[in-house]
Amino acid sequence: MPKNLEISFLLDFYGDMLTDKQKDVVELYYNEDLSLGEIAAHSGITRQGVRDSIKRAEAQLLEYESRLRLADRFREISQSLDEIIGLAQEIERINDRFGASNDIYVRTSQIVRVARQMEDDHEVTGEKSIGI
Amino acid sequence: MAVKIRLRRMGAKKAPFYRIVVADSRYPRDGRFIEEVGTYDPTKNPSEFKIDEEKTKKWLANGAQPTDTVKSLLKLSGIL
Repeated sequence: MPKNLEISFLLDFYGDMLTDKQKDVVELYYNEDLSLGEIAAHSGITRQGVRDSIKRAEAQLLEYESRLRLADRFREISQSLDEIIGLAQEIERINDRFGASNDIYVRTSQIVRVARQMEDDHEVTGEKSIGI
Repeated sequence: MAVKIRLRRMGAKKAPFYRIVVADSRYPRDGRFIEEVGTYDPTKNPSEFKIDEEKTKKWLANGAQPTDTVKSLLKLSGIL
């Protein structure tokens, strides 16, 4: 069965809530795309042990996501911000064509700046909430 | 010696991006790889998969083993 790369994305949000060993194994499995057998050979535990550990970690990550929805909300907000930026830039272009008001230009670039800043801020808050 | 074709995650936190690399299975962790044959970007919609078909076919013919994940991507793009 092909791996669900979504797990790798969830690991960015909730990785610090797993134990170091669990995180390590999941990282090897999803981010380095190793097989269970390869991870077993390199970490000195059995293939079955690696599998159990990954399955348990996956269940934990999915459980966190279903309760906290950090990853889901991150996606929604990034998408909306991209939309806001696109619309502001569209207004800017329309303004260029019909009238070129400086007031409108100043405000649209402000909207773009604030939206970009939110995209960055959001990543920082996301990481902070993991640490708690 | 086994040669594998696998994904390797690059990209920033919360912005995953993958390279498809040909690498020796004995040193999975040291970051070394023999050749990069493509990229996979799941953040784009639809996700973007770029691959050098010629290089990939050459490696497959020489016995490189794609991982299941890479295999399914190759199937989607019609190489396998």
